[in-house]
Parts: sequence; structure tokens; C-alpha cells
Amino acid sequence: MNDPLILILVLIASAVSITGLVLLNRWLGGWQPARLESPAGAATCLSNDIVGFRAGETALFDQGTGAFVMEQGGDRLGLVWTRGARFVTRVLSDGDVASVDREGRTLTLKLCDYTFSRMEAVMADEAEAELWAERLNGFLRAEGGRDAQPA
Amino acid sequence: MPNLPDPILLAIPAFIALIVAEMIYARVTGRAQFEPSDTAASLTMGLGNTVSGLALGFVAVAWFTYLERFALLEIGYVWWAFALAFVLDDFVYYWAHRMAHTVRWWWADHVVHHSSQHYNLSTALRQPWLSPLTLKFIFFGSWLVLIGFPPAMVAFVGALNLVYQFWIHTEVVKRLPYPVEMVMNTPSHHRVHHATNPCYLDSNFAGVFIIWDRLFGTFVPESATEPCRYGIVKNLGTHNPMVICLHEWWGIVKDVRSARSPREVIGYWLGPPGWSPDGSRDCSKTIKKKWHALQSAQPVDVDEQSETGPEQAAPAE
Repeated sequence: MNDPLILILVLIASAVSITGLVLLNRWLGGWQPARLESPAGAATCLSNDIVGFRAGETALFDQGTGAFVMEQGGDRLGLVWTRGARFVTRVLSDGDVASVDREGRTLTLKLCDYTFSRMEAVMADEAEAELWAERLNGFLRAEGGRDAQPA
Repeated sequence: MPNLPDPILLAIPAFIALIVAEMIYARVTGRAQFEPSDTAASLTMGLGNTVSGLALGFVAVAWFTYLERFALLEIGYVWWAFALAFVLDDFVYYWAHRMAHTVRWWWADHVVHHSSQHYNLSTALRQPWLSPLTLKFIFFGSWLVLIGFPPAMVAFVGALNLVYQFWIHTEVVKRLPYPVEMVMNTPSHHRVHHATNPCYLDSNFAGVFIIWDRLFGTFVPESATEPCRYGIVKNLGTHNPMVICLHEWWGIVKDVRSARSPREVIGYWLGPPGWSPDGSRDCSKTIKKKWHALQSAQPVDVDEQSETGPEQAAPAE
């Protein structure tokens, strides 16, 4: 790779190959967006990722794109969110939420977590959205508070 | 000095051909899965790794050129030296890899490779961009050069090691014959390494020979009753390559800024990933401990649990 011309050719060929492979992947398909079918699914996601998390009251998002899950007998709120064919989970404690906005049955949540900073949840109805917005407000970060850290 | 070829450069066409073959096989059989955004992220990280290696690799080259003069022996380019260097390099790789999982400074770099929730051949190419800046090559790359193996030979066998590791990133190959599984690192062993199931955390660090894990007590076999869940303990909510590359570094910076003593600085920087002064975060050891405690208190039927699990990873028909 000492010859700059070879280097440039290798880089161009790599970029073309990447584009080709991604287009082939899109064309072939073979995957489906992950969906939660039931509260049990959300509970399994959370207990898999967060050892000891015991799911309590659960609200699935519209189309099963995620869920809010209160911890049984605990003071944490579990969050399940689809990312393509997989789920991403978080468990929220005091100070982990930057803001919660509600518009009708849609909640927009900003987290103090730069690896998962924003999400939108469409709830079953406005009453449910209001209930969970209220709960999420309990996890709001105080002014000048800490940021959640990934580990 | 012979003009040694770059095994990685030579292997690139084979890498691409095998990814295409696995993609088609995955579509036809459903035994593996590729997701375009994840594939794009993995391959972009691979390209970035090549570019950064060219841009930053001079640091390592300069170091080894300097170090060569202190070599104890003068080992020439003979066949047995290549073979011995390959085995010794793999031994060093085991420890470097183990440290990459247990020291946050090195984990911040290596986490990139584990950040995909998929496990396919494209995952093999999901590599970090800032490796030379971690100075891992000084701590782990110097030994063979100090013994007397020529730096070019060390680089060559190191590249062969990485080429070997490409094909083990697959769910398509289940188990290989017993003698192979006993000695070599295989897709089955490496799936366990990439899994986040608590019972699999921090295991199977081998590059080529799994014997190192068997010797040093880090070997865990893949269990049919515990399907691997891939990714990291706290999966990323994005496929953005910059976030993939930098997220743990940013975490270290923020934590170190919040540290209240030199001990906390050291802990956040060089402690195990997930370390915190008050123990409020989980590192692998605490996750495993909690999991084992939970298992002994309340046995879980894994098969039953997976039956009620979410609709995840279902290949489209």
C-alpha cells in the first residue's frame, strides 16, 4: 500500500464495494422490523438486558414499536425501543430524562444519554399518553444535573 | 528482508465474495440475518479502520523501528520463525484482547467491534478508527520484536491472525468436528464471545487457538439452551458511525471530568468498563454475580422464556 495510486484505487474500490453490498442487502431483504406483540415480550427484552429487572405495569406503543415498563416494586422505568430488526433497552432512574413533550397521544422523549438521545412514542390514547408523560416527568434531570453514562 | 505481502489486502476480494455468499445463503435459508443499516455501519467502520490505519499507523511503525535495536536475538526469515511467531502472536493477542475487555481505555476502542446486534461476516469488519492512539501496540506488540522477531514478520503474522478471524463471525456454521473445536477458535466459540447473555460475558478471547481460553479459565462453550444475544450490555440507539466510534471515549471524558479524586480518575479511565466509585453502575463481574444469584434463587427455564419472547430477528419469508 505504499504506492499512492494503489491506495486510492483500493479506497475507491472499497467504497464502491460497500455501496454494492448495502444495495444487495436491501434488494435481498431477509429481515423484518422488530415488533413487540405483548407486554411479555417487553418484559423479556428488559430482563434479558437488565439482570433482575422485574416488569410491572406495561404500555406498548402503537404498532408494537416499543414499550414503557414500570419496575415491579422498584423506582425505575424500563424502556424498550425498536432499532431495525432488534430492540434497544434502557432503564431510567432519577435524572435520566432531559425532557418530555406530549402532543395528543404522541410523547417525545429526550434522554440524557448520547447513545440514545431521543425517541417518539405513540400511545394507545391521550389518557395513556398523559399518564406516562407524568411518570416520565418524575425522572427529569434537575437543572445542571448529571448526564447518564453508557457503560 | 523478503518483501512480505499484505494478507489483509489480498484477502479483501475473498471477504467481499464471502459476505455476498452469506447474504444470499441467509436469504435462502434464514439461518443468518443482515440488516442494511447495520451492514452499512459495519462496512463503513471497516473502511474507516483502513484509512485511520494508514493515517495513524506510522506511530506504530516508528515505535517498532526504534525498538528493533534492543532485540535480544536475531531471528531471520526462516519458516519455523514464521510458525513460532504466529503462535506467540496469538498468545499475545489473547492477552491484548482480554485486556481490551477489562480496561476501559482499551474497551473504548474495542467496543466498536462489539456494537452490532447482528452477527454475520460484515460484523468482522466493524473495526475501530483510533486503535493506534490507545498505544496498545506498545504494551502488547513489543514483546515479539524484543525477543528478536523482525517487525515485518510480526506485522505479517498479526495480519494473518486477523484474516483467520474473519470467517468465524457467522451464524451459518454451527459446530465443527470435535478436534477442531478443541484447538481452534471457531464460529461457535466466537459467537459466545460476542454474546451479552450474562453467562457468556468476558469469555473466549482467543484469536486463532482457543487453547489459551482453555488454559487460562476463560473458555465458555456455546449452549443450545442459551441462544446468543449479540451486541453490548447497553446497546446503541443509532447506526451513526461517529457515535459508534466515539461514544465510549466521550463517556470516559465526561466521567473523568466529574471525578472527585485521582482514584476516581484512574477508575473511570483504567478500571473495568462500567466501573463507578459508588458501584451504582454494572460491570461484567457484577452482572454475572447478579445473574448467578438470580439463577440460584429462582431458576429460569430458558426455553420457556424464549417462547414468550418478542418478535425479534425473524427473517422475512
